[in-house]
Amino acid sequence: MTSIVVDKVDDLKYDLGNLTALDSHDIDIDLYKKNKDSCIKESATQNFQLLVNKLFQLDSNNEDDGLFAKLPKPNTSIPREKPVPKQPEATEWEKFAKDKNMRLRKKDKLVFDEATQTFNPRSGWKRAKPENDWVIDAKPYETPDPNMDPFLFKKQMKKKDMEKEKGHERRNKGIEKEPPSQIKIANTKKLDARGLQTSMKSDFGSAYDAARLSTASMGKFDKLLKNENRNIKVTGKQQYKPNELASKKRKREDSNTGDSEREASMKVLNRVLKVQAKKKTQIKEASVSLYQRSAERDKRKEKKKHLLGENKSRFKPQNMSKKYEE
Amino acid sequence: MVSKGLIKRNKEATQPKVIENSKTSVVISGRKQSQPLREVLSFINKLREPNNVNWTGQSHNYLPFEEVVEIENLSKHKDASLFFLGSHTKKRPNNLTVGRLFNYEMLDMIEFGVENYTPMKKKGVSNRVESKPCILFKGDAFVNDDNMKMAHNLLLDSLRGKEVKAINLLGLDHVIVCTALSNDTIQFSHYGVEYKPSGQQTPVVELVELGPNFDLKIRRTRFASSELRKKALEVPQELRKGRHHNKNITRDELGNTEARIHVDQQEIKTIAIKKFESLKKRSRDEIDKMNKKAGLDQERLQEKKNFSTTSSSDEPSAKKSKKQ
Repeated sequence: MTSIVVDKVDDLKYDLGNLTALDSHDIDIDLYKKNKDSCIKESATQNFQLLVNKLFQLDSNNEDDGLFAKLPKPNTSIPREKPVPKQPEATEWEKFAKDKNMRLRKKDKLVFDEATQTFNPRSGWKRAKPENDWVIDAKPYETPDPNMDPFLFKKQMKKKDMEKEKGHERRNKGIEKEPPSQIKIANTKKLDARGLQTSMKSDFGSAYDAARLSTASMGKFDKLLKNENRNIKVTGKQQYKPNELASKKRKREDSNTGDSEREASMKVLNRVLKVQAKKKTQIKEASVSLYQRSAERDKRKEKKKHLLGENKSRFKPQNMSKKYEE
Repeated sequence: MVSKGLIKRNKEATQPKVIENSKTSVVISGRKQSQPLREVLSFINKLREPNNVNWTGQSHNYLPFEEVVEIENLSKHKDASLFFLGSHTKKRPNNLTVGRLFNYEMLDMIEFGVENYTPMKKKGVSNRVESKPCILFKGDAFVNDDNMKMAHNLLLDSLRGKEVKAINLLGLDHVIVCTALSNDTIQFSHYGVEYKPSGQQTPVVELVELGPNFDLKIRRTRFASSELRKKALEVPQELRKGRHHNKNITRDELGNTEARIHVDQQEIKTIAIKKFESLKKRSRDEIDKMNKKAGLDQERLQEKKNFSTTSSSDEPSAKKSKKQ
């Protein structure tokens, strides 16, 4: 193509904001089947030429880098990515100001300071300090204690005001109270024998167990949930066995008679004997091993006797002669 | 350590806004791949260059027409609202799903089949692909057929790139052309542009064959319900066209504007006036109380003054004298 003019009726729907155009005429399918590439290329060049003509007619600035055209807003309605944001509700102060028809004035960021004759920010890093920072009027009837340090009192009042402001901010956002960084569920530290730090999950469990036991009858007659167990393991506390143990094994839900008296005493005996036996064997093994080691060492010495002392190779005349021969 | 400020800024970037950010896209490779699909996905990666997340390294077994939740979770994680998924199976060879999301919920999905693929020319292409393309559509089906209308909107949305207010006209490097061959198929072709001088300001255009050309055949579609679509197409009030259009304003032929103002009735009793506390209406009892208090306060003041000037030893004597 040699000219801008296109042999075609300008029927396109333009969307210059998105740099698109839509041509609602079909291509010739017979032509397309004969020669695919050239058919599409021709129609594309025609349509693109029309688009470019429109784009170059827009207002443009000629700069070093190129010709910058101001694009209009896009035409096609494309769905958004996220919903429209809700406007926040008016705060209490804003409602008050609206009722009273107040003008909400904005404070300047920089303030002229006459002492230094410069502009300084109103608050923050480089703010100008007040001239009479080292002097305060003495008002002993305002402070709670008349002998109080007035500078300290000023600091405290400022802190109170700041807290009040933060409370208002939180109220405006809808937050009731600042949550504490560490929440303690229950005073369950006593149940852990080792006194380690307990996590929230275990705190829940131990608090629940403690609550179950804290009825008049120690949770004996309470209704149980589906998979609950009536025996509650109180960790760390020693569970004392009853004085009178049954002679035979009888399993009851509530009773704690795991072992009869005979078995309990046998256990203790075995443990004691075990320890004694262990000690004996330890001593035996230690002594045996000592003897064995010394014996083995002697044997090794005997094996290599022909290589030790005077029999070392460097002292032998054979080797020495070899050297001198060469 | 990540600073609080960074966390705050990242969170703010993902919040809904009046004027939105440009959409980020995720390019995913499915369970199995074929050679043309790989090249098509890499081409799309380059097109969507800055606002893109490239997940073509590994294979992910996503099936959006069976379980949508996986892709919705992905979009939440990456804050993406467009996706391109390429997978190759025997039943659906060279499958490319293009979709978009609204508020991390699936809006529209179209499944295309890539056919008759011709690869990209290697010389002098990569620079062009990264700039904003011009997109041309041709065909009657884009106006009349429902599926093709949605395909037109989807392809425009996903291929257009960042929304700009001004553009360098000499930097329009490449063109994407989508022609509708029937109610099913779209011929996707990609050309580069060369400008030649004409006698006037607008140059003459010549197209150069560049990039991949392939057919897109529509297989399955899934469109959103009308409620979701209504929410998604909602325009915030700040951006509505007729914002400054007021019915009460008229213009003269000379250029003077005339307007009508309607004033509500004023409630005189509740007007805000500056108040002086001394002029407040008070009952007799209240006034008596106030006088008493003022007298007491004065006495206290005197006491304190005496206290501050005199020494502590003199205090009880002074008090005693007053009581008497």
